[in-house]
Amino acid sequence: MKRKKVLVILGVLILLIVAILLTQRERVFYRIPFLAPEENVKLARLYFASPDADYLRVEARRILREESITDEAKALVEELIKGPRENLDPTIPPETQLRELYIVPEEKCVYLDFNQAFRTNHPGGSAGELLTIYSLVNTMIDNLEGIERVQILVESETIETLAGHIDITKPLSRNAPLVEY
Amino acid sequence: MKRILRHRNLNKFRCRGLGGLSLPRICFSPGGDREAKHVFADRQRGDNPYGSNPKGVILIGLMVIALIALIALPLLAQEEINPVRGKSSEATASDKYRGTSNGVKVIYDEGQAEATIKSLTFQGTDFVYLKEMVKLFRLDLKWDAITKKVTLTSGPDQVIFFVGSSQIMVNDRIKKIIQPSRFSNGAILLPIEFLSEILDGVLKAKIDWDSKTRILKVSGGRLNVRGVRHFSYRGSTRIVIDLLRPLSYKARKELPDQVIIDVYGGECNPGELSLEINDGRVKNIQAFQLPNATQIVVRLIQGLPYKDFTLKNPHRIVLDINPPQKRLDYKITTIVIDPGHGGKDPGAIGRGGTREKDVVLAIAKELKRLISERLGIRVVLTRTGDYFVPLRERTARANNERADLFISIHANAALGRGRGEGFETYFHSLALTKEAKAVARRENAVIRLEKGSRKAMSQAEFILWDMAHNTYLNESSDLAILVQEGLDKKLKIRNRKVDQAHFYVLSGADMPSILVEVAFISNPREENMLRNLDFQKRVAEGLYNAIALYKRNFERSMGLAITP
Ligand SMILES: [Zn+2]
Repeated sequence: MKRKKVLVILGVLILLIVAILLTQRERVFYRIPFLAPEENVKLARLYFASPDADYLRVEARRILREESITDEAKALVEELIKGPRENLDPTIPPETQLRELYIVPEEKCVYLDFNQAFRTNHPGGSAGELLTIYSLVNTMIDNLEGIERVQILVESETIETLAGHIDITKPLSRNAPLVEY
Repeated sequence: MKRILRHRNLNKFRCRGLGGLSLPRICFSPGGDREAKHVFADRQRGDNPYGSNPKGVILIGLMVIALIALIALPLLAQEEINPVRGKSSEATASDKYRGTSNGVKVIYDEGQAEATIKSLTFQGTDFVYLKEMVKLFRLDLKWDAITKKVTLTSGPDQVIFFVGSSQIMVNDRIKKIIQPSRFSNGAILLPIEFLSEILDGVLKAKIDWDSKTRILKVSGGRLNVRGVRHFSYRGSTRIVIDLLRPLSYKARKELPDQVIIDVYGGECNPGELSLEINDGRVKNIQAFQLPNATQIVVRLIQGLPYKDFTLKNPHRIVLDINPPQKRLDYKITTIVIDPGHGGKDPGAIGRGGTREKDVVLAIAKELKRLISERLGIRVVLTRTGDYFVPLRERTARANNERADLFISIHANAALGRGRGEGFETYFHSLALTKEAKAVARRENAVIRLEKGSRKAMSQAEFILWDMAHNTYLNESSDLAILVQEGLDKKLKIRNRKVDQAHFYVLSGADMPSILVEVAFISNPREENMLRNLDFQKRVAEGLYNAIALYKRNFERSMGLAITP
């Protein structure tokens, strides 16, 4: 009798569980909760300077996945401006602000428009300029699909150089030699 | 499961899409993904271990169907994909024996000029090479080997087709042609009869094919002056006027700083041909449409010599401003030293307040003294005091002085805690921008092909031109290595590297040129050194030794006696 009772209870319990599972099927099988945040996060490759200002090195950083490629590009630039978390050096003066960013898909080019501080607060030097320019260029090209070139602007205009050295009048492609793996 | 779906979706798309074209990319369309998730969910439901009995039957049924589908669908799909490929390869194999090669005469309206192109006959249909058409009509060709997609563009117009497909897309409109394009031994062929239909969207002229006389008539010639391009080289500027067909022209100088080219019978869209250049030699180009000619006015920044000639395939007029001349003197007689920054531009500033512009001027002056005293040759400084000189003017000065070397002196800086240390030497790189590389490759390839044409730049001329650029590059890198070694012997700080980068100041130099970063002003230890007169002297000594060695090596290699 006792066994029968236990079996009945067990049977009812199993039926209940089955019923719950069937009615809540959507939640149980389709919306796997621990995967959800993962979907909104992307692992970005950010290029910062090595401590001896010799090379660019990659810092992998989780950033929120954005709706559009433009927003994603903006988020990447903001992360670069924030500077590195690991044992690397920044490449962009902290006072820099990204005024505007637009992507021209036909040119495979992203245009980055900065404020004057990007220029006036830059320390100068060939090494410094190369690191700044290619941390932006490489980060954009590595993380954004379909982007092959980067044009740097200051207050909506092309400028000859950042601080008197590297020519940035034209869109630049990825610079590999500057990267140390 | 996913595999099946891809094929299923692909098939669905192919029914709707460009008939018979199998595009692997399409299977990743958003629609496909959505459906994939759906079925994945179905499977999840099916695998539900708590499923009741009738569900079990359905489950088994589903599994059987899935299994059959899993085996059958890929086979079906593959069979549907393969015939296209199979057929075409079969056709090329058998056609190899049937295809006969012939010539086709191309006559431009009024019968002024003609050319001969190759044609191939397959089963009674004449084909011409796509590549030749692209050249003939100055189109831009993009080719995707995976999808077999051909994209032809001319200005804003675009024609897209897939080799073997009878559907073509002209500016986003789909149209059908009777005879599709095809392959032969790796080359793409277009049926000559439907040439005007295929190229309709991108062609600015009318073409007629006469199969009896085998003459392809190109008429109309509307907008026969198609475009103006320019290339800024180190010492000269090349302006290329693209023509649809050969047109006679005359180039003349009305004012010292103005070259006028009249293209007789030319018709153009003046707005499209006008350019702002401002490369230190050419200010701008403006086009005008006259009743019987297109007039192109090239405005120069200063009076410079020019040379004009024509090139064929595609037809174009070339104007070289300040064409490279063979150097007669193989002696180094003038050196321009460029102390970086100046005036309103202090350059990098150290934490102790040391300014790059002051330090590099001191080093430059010392170097000038050493060179003039010990080598007895002329040294020109781009600035002798604390004033601003634009970057372009610095090399313009060196070019005007006909200098043999250009040496730009700077002090380095970087952001961050370490802020770098050591000295490094750079030489200019044209090749670092993708476009520059592509342009050089394209132009050089075209020039090499032209060696046979009459008025074209001869092979010998081309080699000279090529050498003029490469020599500077080689010489600049030689000089950079010597400078780095020279500094290494004199300085006790870190020897960083010799590197190449696209420096704005070096891009205009018509001579071997380098930029040296003597130490890091952003590093407090090196900032102190830079302020030290003895350190400045040692830098100048190191640079002097490198220059003296370079001069000796160079003049020896030119077979000249060593000058004291
Ligand atoms: Zn500098």
